[in-house]
Amino acid sequence: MQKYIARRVILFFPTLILASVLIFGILRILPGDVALAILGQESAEGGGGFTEAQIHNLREDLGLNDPLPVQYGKWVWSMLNGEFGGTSIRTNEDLDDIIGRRLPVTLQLALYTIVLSMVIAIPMGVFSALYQDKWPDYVLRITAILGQSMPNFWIALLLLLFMVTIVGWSPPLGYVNIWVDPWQHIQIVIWPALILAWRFSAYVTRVTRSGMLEVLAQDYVRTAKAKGLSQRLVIQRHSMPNALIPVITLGGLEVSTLLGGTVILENIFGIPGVGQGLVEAATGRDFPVVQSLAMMLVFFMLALNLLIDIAYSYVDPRVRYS
Amino acid sequence: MENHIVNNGTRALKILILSASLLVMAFMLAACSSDDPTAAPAASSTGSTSSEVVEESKYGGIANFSARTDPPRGWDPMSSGSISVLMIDGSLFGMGNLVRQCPDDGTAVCDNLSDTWSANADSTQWTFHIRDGVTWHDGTPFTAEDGKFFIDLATFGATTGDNVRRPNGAWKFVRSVEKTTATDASTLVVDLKYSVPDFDQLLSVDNQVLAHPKHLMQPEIDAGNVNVSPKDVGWIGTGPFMMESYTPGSVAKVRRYDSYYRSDEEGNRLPYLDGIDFYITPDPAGMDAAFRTGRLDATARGSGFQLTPERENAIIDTLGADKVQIMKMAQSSFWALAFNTLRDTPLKDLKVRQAIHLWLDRQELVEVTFGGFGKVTGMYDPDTEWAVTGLMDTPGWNAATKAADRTAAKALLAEAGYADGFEAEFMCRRQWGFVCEPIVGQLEALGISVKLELVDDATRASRTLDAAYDMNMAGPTVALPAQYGSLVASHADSPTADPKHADAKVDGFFRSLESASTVAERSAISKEMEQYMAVDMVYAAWLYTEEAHSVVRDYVKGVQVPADNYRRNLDFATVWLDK
Amino acid sequence: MANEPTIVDAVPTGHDDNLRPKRTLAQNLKRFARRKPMGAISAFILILLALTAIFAPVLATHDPILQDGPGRLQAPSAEHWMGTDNLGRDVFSRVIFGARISLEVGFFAIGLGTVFGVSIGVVSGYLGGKLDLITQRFVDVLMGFPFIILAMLLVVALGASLLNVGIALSVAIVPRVIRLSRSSTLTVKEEMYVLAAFTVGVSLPRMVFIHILPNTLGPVFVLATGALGGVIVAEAGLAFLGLGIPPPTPSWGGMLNVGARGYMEAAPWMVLFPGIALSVVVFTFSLLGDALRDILDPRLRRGGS
Repeated sequence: MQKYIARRVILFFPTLILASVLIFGILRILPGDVALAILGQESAEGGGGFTEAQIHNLREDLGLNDPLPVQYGKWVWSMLNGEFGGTSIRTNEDLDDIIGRRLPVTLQLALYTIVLSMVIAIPMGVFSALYQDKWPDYVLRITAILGQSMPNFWIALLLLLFMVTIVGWSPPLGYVNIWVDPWQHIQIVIWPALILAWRFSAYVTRVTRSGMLEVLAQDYVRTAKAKGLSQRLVIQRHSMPNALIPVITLGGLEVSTLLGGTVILENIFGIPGVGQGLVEAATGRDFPVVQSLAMMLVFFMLALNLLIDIAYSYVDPRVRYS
Repeated sequence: MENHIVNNGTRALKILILSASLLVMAFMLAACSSDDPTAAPAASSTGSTSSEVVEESKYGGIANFSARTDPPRGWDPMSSGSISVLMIDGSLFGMGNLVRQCPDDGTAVCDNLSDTWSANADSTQWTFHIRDGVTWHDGTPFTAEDGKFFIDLATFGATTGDNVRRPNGAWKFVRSVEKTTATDASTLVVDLKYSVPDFDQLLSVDNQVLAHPKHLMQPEIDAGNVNVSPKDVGWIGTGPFMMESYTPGSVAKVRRYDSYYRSDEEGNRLPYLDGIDFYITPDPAGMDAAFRTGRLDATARGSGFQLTPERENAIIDTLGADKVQIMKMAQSSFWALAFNTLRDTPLKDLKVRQAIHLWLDRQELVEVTFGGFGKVTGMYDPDTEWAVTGLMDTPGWNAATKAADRTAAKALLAEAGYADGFEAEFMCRRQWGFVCEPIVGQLEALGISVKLELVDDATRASRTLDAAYDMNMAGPTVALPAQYGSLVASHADSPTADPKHADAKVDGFFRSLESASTVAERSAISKEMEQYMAVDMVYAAWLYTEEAHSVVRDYVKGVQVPADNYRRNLDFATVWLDK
Repeated sequence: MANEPTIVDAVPTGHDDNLRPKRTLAQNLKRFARRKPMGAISAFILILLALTAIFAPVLATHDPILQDGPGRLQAPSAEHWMGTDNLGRDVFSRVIFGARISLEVGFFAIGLGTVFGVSIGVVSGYLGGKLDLITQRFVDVLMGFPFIILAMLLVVALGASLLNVGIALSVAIVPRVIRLSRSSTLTVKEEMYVLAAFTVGVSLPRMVFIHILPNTLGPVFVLATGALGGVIVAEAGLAFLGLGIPPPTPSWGGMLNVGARGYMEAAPWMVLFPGIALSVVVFTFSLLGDALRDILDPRLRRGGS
C-alpha cells in the first residue's frame, strides 16, 4: 500500500510539469499577441491608431521578445518562488494578489455548491433507487436532469428577471468574503450556488442512484432483507456507504466541470472569482494571468484527485494492486 | 463488495474534512493576499465646508454609481484613455490637467489647475499661472513643479538605469513640446518646437488627466519603479474626492476632499456629495437589475452598458418615468464601412463603392442596430461646422430618395460588371457583431455575398496593419479636427487606418489640417476632406453615430451631461442628492 | 485505477450467450420500450428531431437569415409563428434550422472526440507500459482542466467557426472516452480467448479490431449519447462568451444569447422558443443515455427491479 501511495505521489509531479507545458504552449499558439490585443483594443475603443514602434516597445516591455524556453523558465521560476507568474499585463496587479483574492472566492462558491448538492442529491438518489422506475424515480430524475439541460446563463438571467419584476429585489452589490460580512456574502453567493448545485446534483443523483441500485442487487443485501432487516437499516448500514464511493471518486472529475460552470455565473452575479478572471484575461490575451490562474486550477484539481485516490486506497484494497 | 462495509460516519467525516480544508485553504489564500481594501492616507483638512446650504443644492449623501470593470493599467490615464479608467479617475483627479475642456462646450478651453495662461506672439511659448491654494489629497501644495513633472513624464518618459518608461505616444500635445520650466511655484513656461496656436486646446483634452503627484512618484522613479502608477501611490490627486477604500472586483469608495479648490457660483465649496461608491458590475444584466431595485443611482457608461430602447423601457416600466432621468450623450464616434482598395477585389472599382454607398439605408440601420438611439452622419456630426453643409440631403444619406438611390445602385453595379453580385469578406470586431450584422443583411439584398468574420482585438489589429481584409467595420473614432486622431480619416500611409488606399491627396488634407491655425481654416479643410473621401472617392461609407443612453435616478441632480463625448464630465463635483 | 467511472461492462460473459436464445432486433426494441418507457419516448423525440433537422428547408416557413428591418420584434402571428427577432428574421425558421445546426455540431464534436478517444484509449490500454503511463498523465491533466476554459482558449486561438467550435467541444469527451475504452480494453485483454487467439498466432491489428473494439463500443456509445446533450448546452455557454457559432448561422445557443441579453421582456418569444427547444433536446438525450445505461449494465439486469 505504501508502494501505491508512493507511486501516486511520484507521478504527481511529472503530471504537473506536463500540465504547465500544455498551458504555456496552448497560449503561445494563439495568433496575435498581447501587445496587439492591448493596442488593438485601445485603438478600437478610444480612437487613434498606434505605430509599429509602439507594438515593438510594448512587446519588449512585456518580455515577449525572449525566446520561448526562456519565457517558460522565467514563468516556472516565478510560480515556484511565490510571485506566481509576475504581474497582469492589463491591470498591473501582481499575480499573487490576483490569485489570493480570486481563488478563495471561487473555492467558496465551489464548496457551497458541493455541499448543497450532496445535501439535496444524495437523498434524491437513494429515493430514486428505492422506487426504481416508479413515479418518484421519474419525478426526481426529471428535476435533476432539467438542471443539466438548461444553459446556466439562461437560468441565471431568468432568475434575475423574476427577482426584479416579481419580487422587486436584487442581490446586493459589492462582493465580500464570508468572514467579512456573512449576511451580505450569502445574499450574493446563494444564487449562483443554487444554480450550479442544480446542475451538479444531476450528476450526484445519477451516480448515487446507480450505485445504490448496484448495492441493492447484491446478494448479501437480499439476504439481509430476507432475514427481515428493516429497509431503512439495510440502506443505512449496507447500501449507502458503498453507494457514496463512486460519488467521491468521481467528484474529482466533476469538480472541474463545476469550476467551468462558475465562469459564466461569476460574471452575471458580479463575483470576482477565478472564472471571471480567466475569461477577461483569455479574451484580452493577458498571458501571465491565464497561465497562472489555469495552473493553479489544474494544480488544485490534480491535488484533489491525488488525495481522493489515497483516501480511496485505504478503503478499497483492490485498488492498491492495480 | 461485501468486505467494504465502511462506517457511514467515516464517509461523512471525510466529506466534512474535504469541505473544511477547502474553506481553510480559501481563508489562508485570502489572508496571504496583500490586497486588502487599500485605505488612502488621510488628508489634512485646511478649510471647512460651508455651513450655509444653497436653496437648490444640498450637501451630503453617498451616491451609488457603477463601473463596468476594475480600472486597468494601474488607473493611469497615461496608459489608457478608456472609459474604464476615467470613470473613477474623474472624481479622484478631476478632468484634464492644467486646463480642461469646458463642461458645457467641448471645443472651448476652461481653467483647471491653471487659472490663467497666455502664449507669446508666435505661439511657440506658453505660460501657465498655477492656481493658488490647490493641494493634493495628502495636503502637499500643488505647484508649477507638478505641472512640469506631468508634461515631462508624458513627453519624455523616464529612465532609471535599465528601466525605461516610454513617452506617451497617444497624447497629441506631446509632439510639439521642447522643454518646460517652472520659473517659480506658480508659473510654468512651456517651450514648443514650432508654433502651435491651439496648444491649450490640445492640452485640454480631458482624458489627459493629471494624476501624477511628483512628491510621491519621483522617489519611486528614482528607485527604479519607472512605470509607477496612481494606484501605486495611493491615488493621491487634486480632484473633488479622495480614495477611501478599494476592493478589486467589488467596490471603490471615494469620499469628499474638503479642500477641493472649486466652489459653485454662490461660493459654496464643492463637491456636494459626501462620497461615491463605485460598484464594479461586469455584466449589464446585473447592473440593470441593481438599478431597477434601487441599489444603484446611475448606470455605467461604456460600450455594452449603454441602454437599448428595450432595456430603457424595462427600467421605466419598473421604476416609473418620473423616477428616472435619461442622459443622452453623443459618442463622437462616427461609424463607417471602410473599404480596402489595395486588394484586387470588386471594391477597387469606384462604381462598386458608390453603389454600396447609395444602397445602404442608414436610417434603417440606426433603427435596427441601436433601436433608434443614434443619428445618421457623415465623417462628422452634420450639425457642426466641420461637416459639408447639406450632406445629409445628398444621395446615400437622404431617406427620401432611398428608393431611387437603390435603383441607381443596382445600375451602377451592373455597369461595373457585377450585375449578379460578388463575394466579399467583412472583418468585424467581435463585440461589434450587432453593428455588422444588419449591414450584412442590407448588402446581401444588394446581391453581395458577405462573409462576416468576427475577430478579436489582436487579430483585428494585426490584420489592419497587414491590410488583410476586403471591408472593415471602422468604429469609434475621434474625428474632430481639433484632436485629429481620427483613425478613419487618417492619411494613406498610416498602417492603422481602416480604409486602405494609396491616395496621396488624402495625405495632403491631413497635413494641411495639422498646419492650419484657425478654426475657419480647419473647417474649410475638413469639409473638403469629407467631400473627397466620403462622396467623391467613397473610401468608406460613413454611416451614423450612436447616442449613448445612460440613466440616473430622479433624485440625482447636478449631473453635467456632456453633449459631445461621454468620456467627459466625470468628476461629479456638482452632483447632489435630493433626498 | 481509482478514478475510473463506474464501468458499464458490456462484455459478454462467455457461457451465458451460448445458452440463451438469441433475440431479434425487433424483439430487443420491444423489450427496451416495455422496460424503459422513458427511454423509448426519448428515442422517439430524438427521431423527430433528426427528421426536423433533415427536412429543415421544407419545414421552415421563411429564409432563416433573411433580415427585415421594419418587421423586427414582432410577436407571434399567423405570418410568423414564433415572431421575429431583433433583425426581423423569422424565429420559427431559425429554430427549425437551429435543430440542424445543433445536431451537426453535436455529432461532429462527439464523433471526433469518440474516434480520437477510442483510438488512443485502445492502443494505450493494449500496449501498456510507458506509453500508457504518459497517456494517462495527459488524460489526468485534461480532466483536471475546466473544459469551458479549454474550449474558450481553443476558439480564441482558432477563431470562431462551426468547425472550430466543434473541435473545441470534442475535447470535452476525449478524456472520458479514453479512460472508458482503455479500461474496456484492459478487461478484454484478460479474457482467455484473446490470449488463446494470441498463442495461435493471430496478428495484433486483427486482434484489436475484431476482439477489443466491439466490446469497447458499447459503453462508449452510452457515454456519447449522454454527452451529446452536454455538447449542445456547452455551445450555448460559448455563445454567451461571444465564442459560439458565428452569425448569421442560426444556433439555439446564439439565439438564446442575443435574446436573453436584452429582449427577455420586450420580445420573450426570441428567448422562449429556442430555449425550450434546446432544453427539451438536451433533456431527452440525457434521458436516453440514462435508459441505455440501465439497460446495458448486466449487473443491474441480474439484480432485477
